[in-house]
Amino acid sequence: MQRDVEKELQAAQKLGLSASEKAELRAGFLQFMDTHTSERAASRAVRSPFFMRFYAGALIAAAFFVYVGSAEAALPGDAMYYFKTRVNENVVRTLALTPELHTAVTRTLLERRLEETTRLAINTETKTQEWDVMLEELDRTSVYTQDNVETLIDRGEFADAIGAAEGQRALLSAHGVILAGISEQKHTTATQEVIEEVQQQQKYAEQIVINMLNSLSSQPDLNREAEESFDEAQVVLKQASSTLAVLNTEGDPQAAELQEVIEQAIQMLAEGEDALVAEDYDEALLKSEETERFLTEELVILQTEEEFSLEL
Amino acid sequence: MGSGNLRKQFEGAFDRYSDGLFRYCFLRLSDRERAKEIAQECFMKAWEYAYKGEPIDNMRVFLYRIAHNLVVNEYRDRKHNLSLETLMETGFDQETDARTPEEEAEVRQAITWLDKLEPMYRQIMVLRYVEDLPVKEIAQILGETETAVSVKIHRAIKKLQQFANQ
Repeated sequence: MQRDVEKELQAAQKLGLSASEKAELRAGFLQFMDTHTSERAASRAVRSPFFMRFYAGALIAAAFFVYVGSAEAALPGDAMYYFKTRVNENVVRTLALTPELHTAVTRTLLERRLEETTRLAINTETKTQEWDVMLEELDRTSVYTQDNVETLIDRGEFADAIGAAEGQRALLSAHGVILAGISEQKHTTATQEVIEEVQQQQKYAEQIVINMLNSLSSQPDLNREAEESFDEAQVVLKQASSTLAVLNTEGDPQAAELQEVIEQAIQMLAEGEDALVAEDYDEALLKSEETERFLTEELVILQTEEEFSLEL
Repeated sequence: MGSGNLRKQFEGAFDRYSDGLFRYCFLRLSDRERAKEIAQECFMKAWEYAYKGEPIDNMRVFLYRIAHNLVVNEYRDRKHNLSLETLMETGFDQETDARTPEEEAEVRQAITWLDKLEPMYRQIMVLRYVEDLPVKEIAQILGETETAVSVKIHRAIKKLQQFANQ
């Protein structure tokens, strides 16, 4: 009897749109998508400095920073710099309890670190120890920014997460600039070439990883696009590895170490891609972030070791 | 985010689900033109949502949920339940809805059965047996538990069986 009921009701499946009605509705919807795509793109461009949306939060954060203005101009090497970064900024970080405030503080810290890097770079007498402090602060701010990116992703605020991720990328680029600055002063020509090459590949890999992060976070269905990003990142790193292999045969000891780092990063990316194919997006995202961090950290370690050996 | 890919997804979703959404709205509102408008509005609202970067786990459920909400609003605005008798009198599109007299008779019979049900049961039976949606998805669309949906389906079938035995 139940089957009779089902069968009777299923006859209503014959109701539907006529071909002309469907075509008309489809055309209307396509037009709607066209209109709203361009409007949306424009609105995103407008708020691209992502603190625009959190303007109120930014004002509160600015008030904190003005209050501690006496230390604001301090640079690594100045007595006030420790107070600025480890006391004042820590207080502000602790008070940034809401996501909006967290985002605003992140933005301010990012701008500060980039400005400090620029000012140190302009000063030709900047010492290695001062660069070390700068690198350390860039790392700390990078970690804080990463937290902010993750929070925004969790909240589904992908456009702002992308903005924060771009800020972090700028920070990592500053890292690269510092390494380049140090290498100009300290390294042999061959090693310097290696570092420059790796820095370029690192920057490119970071960009790809961030693009992938955007794809993964905002639209899991775009796994094909993300897979291509993984492949592309691996190709870039393999090129870097080949360059290093050539230098290694020419007797550059650091090239071997760098090559090892790059090979490990390739392996990590391969694992991330496997996770993506298995539709384990969390794991894929984790692997891409780990790779990014690993590349940054390992290059800094190698750089520091090189400086240390040269100083000896 | 690749808006080109998103657009393709939505074009595909339109081709797959527009008939079903229209049918769902049509059977609930008995108003062909309004059902068409609401079916289109479902895709527009979903597009706006997705283009902001918000995730859509199940496109079909998402679209039917929007349709359900829009129909509820429509009911609220009209302040009375709509009878499917109106649909029987005026709603058919001769081009597609019933191509032969036999098919038209079958469709009319289905509508007669649905019209015997209260709106709450009717919407569930349309989703289950006309749109062929699983209980889990119906529960997500209506914001109810799967158990509650199963119980309502069972009750609706009982009512229709009583109607058939009269």
